[in-house]
This record gives sequence, structure tokens and C-alpha cells, in this order.
Amino acid sequence: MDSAAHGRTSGDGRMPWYYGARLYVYILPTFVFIGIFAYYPSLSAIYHSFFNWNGSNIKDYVGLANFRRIFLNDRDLLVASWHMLLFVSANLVLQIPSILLAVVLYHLRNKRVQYWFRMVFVIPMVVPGMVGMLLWMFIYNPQVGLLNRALAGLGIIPSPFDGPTWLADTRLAMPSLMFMGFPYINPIALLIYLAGLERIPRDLNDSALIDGASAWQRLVRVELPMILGQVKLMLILGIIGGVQDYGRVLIMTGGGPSDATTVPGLIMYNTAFRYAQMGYASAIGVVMFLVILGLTVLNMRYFRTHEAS
Amino acid sequence: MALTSRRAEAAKFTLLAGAAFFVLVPFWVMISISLKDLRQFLDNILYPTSPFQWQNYVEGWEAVSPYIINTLVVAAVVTVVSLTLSSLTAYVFARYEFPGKTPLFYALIVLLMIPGILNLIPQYVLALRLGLVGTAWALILFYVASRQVLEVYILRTFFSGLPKELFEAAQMDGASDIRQYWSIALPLSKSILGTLAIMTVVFVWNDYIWPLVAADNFKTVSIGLAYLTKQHSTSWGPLMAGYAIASLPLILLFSVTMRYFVEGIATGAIKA
Repeated sequence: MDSAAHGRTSGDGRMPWYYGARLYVYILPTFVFIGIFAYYPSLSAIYHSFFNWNGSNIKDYVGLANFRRIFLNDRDLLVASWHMLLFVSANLVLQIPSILLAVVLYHLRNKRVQYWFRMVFVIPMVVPGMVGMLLWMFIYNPQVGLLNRALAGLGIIPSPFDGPTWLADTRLAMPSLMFMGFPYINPIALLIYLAGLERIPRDLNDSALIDGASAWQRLVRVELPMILGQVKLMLILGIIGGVQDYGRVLIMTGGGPSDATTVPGLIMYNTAFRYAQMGYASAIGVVMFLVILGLTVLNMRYFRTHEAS
Repeated sequence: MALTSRRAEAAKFTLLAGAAFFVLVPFWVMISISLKDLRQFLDNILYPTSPFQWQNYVEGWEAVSPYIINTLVVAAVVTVVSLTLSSLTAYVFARYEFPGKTPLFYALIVLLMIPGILNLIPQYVLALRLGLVGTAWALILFYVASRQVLEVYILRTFFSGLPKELFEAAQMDGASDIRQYWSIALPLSKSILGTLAIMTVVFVWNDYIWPLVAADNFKTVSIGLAYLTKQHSTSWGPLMAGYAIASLPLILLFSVTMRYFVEGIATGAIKA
């Protein structure tokens, strides 16, 4: 893709053999690192997914037994996959606030006020993710948390202690996790959408105004098409993130109460680090990898055809 | 017309202000609680009440400072080492032709498609066998490897875009290839190197699963905060002060560099 070799040739047009060798020396450290700490683990995961393996002394080849168990014989994983689908759907729906807010922010005439709002909406990106999650755990705290205090303050429940127990309630735990983070503004998405909207040519908007297009028409015909690529990217990232994320569940509920909030990643984690079934856990990892790979490839195809048309 | 547009502007402002309010509430409540003792906390959390309990910040600092130091050490080493190695590799891929170049490059970027979830278990077993579990090395070595993939990919694109004439002129003057990398490529790439450095620091600061698995004794900020929250379930004031203190380094980092980080995201996204 780059232009051909930078004419690093000596007089007769031939490079000395050691000239090229130097280049390999330069890139060697990178490849040593990724060879040992990235490639080896990936191959090891695929290899061990065909074994009954406890990570050390027990290692028996079992063929496809792990995969059969995943698809035919693991009720926990089935429940977890349903939760995963719920998380993915929530991720997709919760993209909408960022899009709408970006459009509203873009239309704000006062640029100083716009700048300040942008700063405020970016704050969650600047605060460590763990702090954000722990703050939401506090918000859901049934005795002293912000949510039940607010409900009590509004007179909806008699006192914070009488309110729902949110993350500890079997029926409420899933929705509580899915819908934490109100008002669901993704700072990176917001910045990307704003950058896309800023690129709308002035005359396009002006002509839409002259034509008497309503705000809704402008949104659908001018603004959304302008950021469609970015929106699609965020949707696919939302799907992939929803499939593999289990940090939130691990921290906030540990998958509980009972199995009310388990997800496949968490099952893999527990299978490996609690029950030392490293082979079966590796197989779960491989299946999730294939799902994510499929989504990525699908996404690349989709993008290509879109660009070509 | 003017009236309706003013009204529309006010409506937009109200909507944005409402969203901003809800974005800020958790952080405001964090600051408010961090200045309260237990009695004040049970009474009301919406705003700080006197007397302000400043000693919460002393307690919070004592609790989280080891985590902050651990995380800063890991972040600094990973950032410097990974950027040093990846920039040289990216430079070679951007500037030179050599046998095996294309397959090697693809072998590298194919790792971008491999999710961490596939590698977690064998990485743990590997770290265990190398005797790294529970030490900073378990974090440093694996992070240096994984960060390099993204860094090489982005830097190679950036280096390829630098004007070739600069390198050719230096070549004429007899500058070696290392010299060209060091005195031309790197200085022209300060902003992208800075952006990548920030991304790596933020990554190390926020990563949770790998440190939990591999370095539970060497607690980073994420692990430490989750641990403290479980241990001290009633001392909310010092805990929230600890959250605030643990957030400060990233906030400082961003406030210094936000302007071009925002630009970086915007331009990078448009290219993508």
C-alpha cells in the first residue's frame, strides 16, 4: 500500500544482506512480546478447549465434549446467554440518548454555552470507570442509597428502608444493571457525533431551512445520514461490548442474587477460577471469541458494501 | 420568528441542563458525602453540612494512596516501554520494504480482533508458571504486549502520512535509519504519541478483570476501590473521599490534555 522501497540501495543497486537483517532486529522485541504474551495464550486457549484441564496436573483429551456440553447440556449458560441478549438490547436502545443529545447540542446557537455543556457531558469519561460503577452501587443501596432516599423524598415510598432492594432483588437486579448510568450519555459517542455534525456543509442546512424543512425533517434527511457511519460503529461496539462484558456484573452483583444476573463471561470466569475447570472455561472463551469474530466480520462486510454503494 | 427561535433555544437549553444535572448528581453526591460523618450522612446527602469532615480525606488518602502509587508505576512503565517498542516497529513497517513484511504486519493486527476473554485463562496459567501472579510484572508484561498491537497499528498509519521528502533529505545528509526515526519521525508525532500514552494510562487505571485475576496482592486503583468498598461498608465519608482522590490523577491528566484528546477522537473517528 505504501510506495515501493525507499531507494536504500548502494551503488550497484543491491543491498548488503545485513541491511535487511537490521530491520528484523528493530521489530523483534515487539514480536517477542506478542508471541509470548498474546499469541501463545490464544493458541493455548483453542488447544485446551479440547481437554479436561485443571490448569496444572490434570489434562485429558476429551474431543468435542466441552463444546457439546456448552450447546446441549449447560442450563446455567443458557440462562446467562438470555441475560447477555438483554444487556445487548439495552446497550442498543441506550445509544439513542447520545444521538439525540448530540443533535440538540449541535443546534445550540450560543457556542460558549455549547462548549460548557460539552465539558460537563465528558466528565464521566474522565472519572475512573470503577468509581462510576461504585457510585451506582451506592445509588442502588437499599438502606442509605440515593435512589431510595429520592423515592422517599418524593413520597413514593414511606422511608428509604421500605424501598425496593434493587440489586439484591431477584426480579429487579437485571433491570437495575441494564438501566444504570442514567442519562446514558456516552462521552466518546457524543464527541464523535458532534464532530460528524460539524461537517455538515452550511449551505445544506441553509437550503433545508429555506425549503421550510421542520426540525424533524432536517434530523431525518440531513443530520442522521451525516452521522450514520458513526452511529453504526457505536451500535456494533455496543453489541460486541454487551457480548463480552462481565466486569459490571462481577463487581455489582457477582451474578446474583442466585443466578439472576449471570452472563457467559462470568460463567467462564467462575468455571476457571472457582471450579478450576480450565478446559471447559477455555471452550466457553473460544465460543465467545467465534461469536465476536462473526460479528466483527459481519460488520466489516456491511461497512464495505455500504461504502461501495 | 425571532420569538419562536428564542423559545426553541430555551427548550434546547432546558433539555441539556436537565441531562447535565443527572450526569453531575452522582459526582456531586460523592463530594457531598466525602465531607460528612456517619450521622450527617444518615441525615442528608444532597449537600455538605458543617462541620465539614476534612479528616475523611486524610483517611481516604491513607487507604487509596498505595493503590494510586501501584497504578502509576505500572502505567508509567507500560506506557514508556510499549510506546518505545511499538513506535520503532511501526516506523520500520511504515518506511521500509523487506521480505515477509505483509504477513508479519497482518500477524500483528489480527490480534486486534481477539477479545481479551479468549486469552484470560491461558494468560493466567502462563503467569502462574512464570511465577508472576501477585506481582506487578503480571500486569506490566501482558499490558506491554497487548498495548503494542493497537499502538503499532495507529502509529504505522501516522508515520506513513509523514512527508517522505524529510526522510530523503536526512538520508542524503547521511543520517542513519535510527537517527531518522529519533530526530524526524518521533518529534513530528508528539501529539499522536501523547494521545496513545493517555489511552494506555486510562486503560491501566480502569482495567479490572486481569489485575483481579493475576495481581490481587498488588492492588491497582480499580481493585483497591472495590476491595475498600466491601471492607468498609459503613464509613461512607472516608470511602467517598477515597473515590474522589482516586479520580484525581485521571482528571488532572485530562484537564491538561483534553483539548487535543478531543480533537484526536474527532479526527480519528472521521478517518475510521
